[in-house]
Amino acid sequence: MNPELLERRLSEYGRHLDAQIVPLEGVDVRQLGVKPPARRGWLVAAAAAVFVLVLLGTTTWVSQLTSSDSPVGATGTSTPLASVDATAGDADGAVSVTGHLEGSQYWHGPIEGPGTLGDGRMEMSDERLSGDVTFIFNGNAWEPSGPYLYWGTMLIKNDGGTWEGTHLAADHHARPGVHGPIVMQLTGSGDYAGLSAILYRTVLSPPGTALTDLEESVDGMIFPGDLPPNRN
Amino acid sequence: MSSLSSVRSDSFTRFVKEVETRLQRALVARYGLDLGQESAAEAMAYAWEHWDRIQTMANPAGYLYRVATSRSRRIRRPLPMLPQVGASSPVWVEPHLPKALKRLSGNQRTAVLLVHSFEYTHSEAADVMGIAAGTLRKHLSRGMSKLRSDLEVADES
Repeated sequence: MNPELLERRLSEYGRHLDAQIVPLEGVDVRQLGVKPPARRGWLVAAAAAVFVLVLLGTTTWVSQLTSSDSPVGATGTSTPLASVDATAGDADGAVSVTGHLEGSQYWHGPIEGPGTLGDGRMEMSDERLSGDVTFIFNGNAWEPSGPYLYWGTMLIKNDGGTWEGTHLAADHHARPGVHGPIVMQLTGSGDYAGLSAILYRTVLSPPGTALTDLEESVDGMIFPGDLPPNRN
Repeated sequence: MSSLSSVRSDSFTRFVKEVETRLQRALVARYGLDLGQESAAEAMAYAWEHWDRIQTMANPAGYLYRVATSRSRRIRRPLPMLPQVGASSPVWVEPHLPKALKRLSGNQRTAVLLVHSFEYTHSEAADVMGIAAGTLRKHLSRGMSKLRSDLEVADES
């Protein structure tokens, strides 16, 4: 194929798509499922509260240790520190971001060896954090059903610059339905010099889900300034 | 007799007429036919709900596109289902094109389809995506480069 032919093919595809798009004109948007503002506000608030509690429940544990070898689910509560609104910012210039990671790899069992390479693509609400991502994994696990840890370095690269830092996961195979949050801490360079980011990646993995069909999300914040020192 | 609600309704109807095609095309390019149209309808519903604020914006279409993509990210979407070539299609479509487009990132695919399939200028495409023209050009350039590589397009030279 030559470049002119590609242009023609793209143009033909545009007409193909246009022929299948149904115009919204004439549709009463009030019938598109919009609920009255007051009720919708309650629903949004309730959904946000549930989300924050679930998120904090996975990160802030008040463990109830038992003498049994079986893991016991633990939950806790805490005061929310930040909104998850992707458009929110605060006086210090911190911006909340949401998005997801595409094309990352998953596997059962231990990390194959120190320095195992993984990659994917981050698509974030803030374009500064979108880009091709590379992970280097180190880790260990009690197999087949015990706790596991992995950690390593990571790099997000896009046209504006890079974000470089570390990622860390500590979890238990018996925790059903979810993996993470995996904590990522990043320092910007290039156009992003002087900025840092802290992100949380959560993978939903309902029992029986194929490793290729897992859903995951990433959220967190970009903020001016450095990460605190002595991070080890 | 004209009430406040009917004035609001009239201005909104004009707005829908003005932006619906651009918004639908952009979101179909990003998410595929079904989810793209669904996202566009949801964005319009959002616009109705927040019309007092939206109608004062300089680029409401770009804002609604960002609203739609932001909402879609919170609910993890599957990869876009771009229409394949059917025997009954009135338009001939390169069989490998949908698959190659699917392999682009969302921004790259939207930029490529808006500019090369729907024939928007860079400025118009950037406007509906709510991004700077320079950023649009970067997505477009990388997207076209990937497409040429995937479809084995020969160099012009």
